[in-house]
Amino acid sequence: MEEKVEEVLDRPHPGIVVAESPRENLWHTVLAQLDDVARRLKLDPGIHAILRQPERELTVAVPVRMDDGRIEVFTGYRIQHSSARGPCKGGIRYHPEVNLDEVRGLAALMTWKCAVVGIPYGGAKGGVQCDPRQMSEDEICRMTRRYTAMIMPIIGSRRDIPAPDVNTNAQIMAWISDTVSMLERKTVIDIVTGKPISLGGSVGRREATGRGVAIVARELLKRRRRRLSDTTVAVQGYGNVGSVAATILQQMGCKIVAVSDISGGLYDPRGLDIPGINRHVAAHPQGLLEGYEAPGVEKFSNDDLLVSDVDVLIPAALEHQIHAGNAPYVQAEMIVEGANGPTTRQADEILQERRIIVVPDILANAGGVVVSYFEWVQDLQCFFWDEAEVNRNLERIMVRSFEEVWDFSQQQQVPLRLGATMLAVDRVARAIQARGIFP
Amino acid sequence: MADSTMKQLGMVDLGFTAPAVQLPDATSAAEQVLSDALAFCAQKMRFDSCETALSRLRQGDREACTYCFYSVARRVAEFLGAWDENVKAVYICDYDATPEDLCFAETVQSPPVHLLVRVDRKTSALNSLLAALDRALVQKYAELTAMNRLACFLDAQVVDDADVEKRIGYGTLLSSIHHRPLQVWSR
Repeated sequence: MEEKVEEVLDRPHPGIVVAESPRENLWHTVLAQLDDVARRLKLDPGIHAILRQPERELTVAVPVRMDDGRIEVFTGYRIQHSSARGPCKGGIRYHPEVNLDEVRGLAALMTWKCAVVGIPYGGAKGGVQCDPRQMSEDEICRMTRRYTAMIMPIIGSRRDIPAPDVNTNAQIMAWISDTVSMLERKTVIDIVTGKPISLGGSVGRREATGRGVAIVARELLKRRRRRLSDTTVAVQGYGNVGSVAATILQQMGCKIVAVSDISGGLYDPRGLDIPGINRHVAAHPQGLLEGYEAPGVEKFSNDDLLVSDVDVLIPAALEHQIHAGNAPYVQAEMIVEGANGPTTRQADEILQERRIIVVPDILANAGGVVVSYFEWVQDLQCFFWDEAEVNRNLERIMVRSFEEVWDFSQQQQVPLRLGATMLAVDRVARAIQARGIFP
Repeated sequence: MADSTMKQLGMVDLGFTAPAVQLPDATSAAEQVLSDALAFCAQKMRFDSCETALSRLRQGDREACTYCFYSVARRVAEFLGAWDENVKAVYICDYDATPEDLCFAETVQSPPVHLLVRVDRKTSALNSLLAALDRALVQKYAELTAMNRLACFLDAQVVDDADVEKRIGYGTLLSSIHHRPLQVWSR
């Protein structure tokens, strides 16, 4: 089926949070979605106007002494879309193509994501235009520290809490925390999340997104009055999200019949031995499924997995895996989006027409940001939970969030994706209304 | 063959062309690419010699592997760009790991090096060159590291404008928001 990109570009499609075309500007896409949701919610025009602009934008020129002695100046951004519901929250990415509109769009999406799971955060995003693979670790460290110093006026544990994103990691978060600590002459670990466990990071963060996906899938099955033991599941992507989701869903009683990664897929209609596969992946030099063999297990492709005959499909790899070309052939009754943006706009329309239930990424993979919130809470209290406590609270928030999105969507008679976005915008709007306009 | 000539002869462009020139020496190119990669790694990690970089590469040191494979990507890209004027840009992309994996999981940096090669038009000549380069890199990498021969060292996916614009196959990745490929070379 041919993708009719031109036809859909000029109309908003709430909830699809990725640019559909390379020519499309993410910020414009996000605004189009917001406008549509505002119309549906009959949002106050003043509040709509507030949400159409990021609250605060900071562009910084970050000079860095490179290893060879010369000075290079990098452009950095920190954009706070909304702090109506609490301190802003969002990652920092290092990439040569980071730009203002992309960061604006991602910041707004963080506002919606935090609102949909009801954690007391607004949305933000940051980035530095650089190619980290061309820089030494020392150069990255110096750039991170200078960037931190330059955005310090607007970040803080009660203002804006950064986190890792593309090409940033726990080490970079540790440098941010240390820089603020040095400049404020006190230990400040609650200014950033995604830190190493040794510096106030939270246990359970690594598994959080996959665990959240599994919880949401289980709640969906309950609402559909389906027994877990009668449910077959296919998981595309066997990394941090997919492998954890598969493991937990199998522990819950589901039959995982298909998994795949970049090296190919495995299929067994009787159910795969997930612990055995996990042992194989742990021992594989590249952490892949490649080479796994067991009686009754057939090899098949990623493409086959997406259209396999299962009850629940969990895309947990890259964006745009379910597109107009394969959406008509998807056999799963339910899709739980573990990855960010795995469904294209056209595919989403096809799935809707075919009455396939899609739990959108904004809800399904929010376990990560929820445990980031727990990290912040623990840092603020200087009291650290064990993993069972983290998982118990994650369970509570994910179950509640799913129920709220489900009920809201039923009440509004809209698909879950649209319902989740509407609920999020509604919550932010109510917070703005309750606070009033200063002065 | 020029388009006008093809039209005059009533020929149809099937979207690929046979190699018109002899392929360059992939073996010596691979040798140079790997040697440059060790030098780049040694420079970035401030090692006193390429031997130290090689030793860290053999141990699977994540940082050393990242620098080496990035340098491989750049050198291969430059080589492709110099040899084939159809090549517009080359990107490196870890599409076997999500950003979540890269942030929070212990991912292993190891070959294959994933490249996206953006071209004006796909040609069988470029495919042949990429295959030859991969074979040579597999051979030279095994010799260099004294490790087992890999099935594949260079995973290069060729995409054209239509793939990118219509988001077909690997063309999708070039406009990805969450899995941003890094451009290592452009014309």
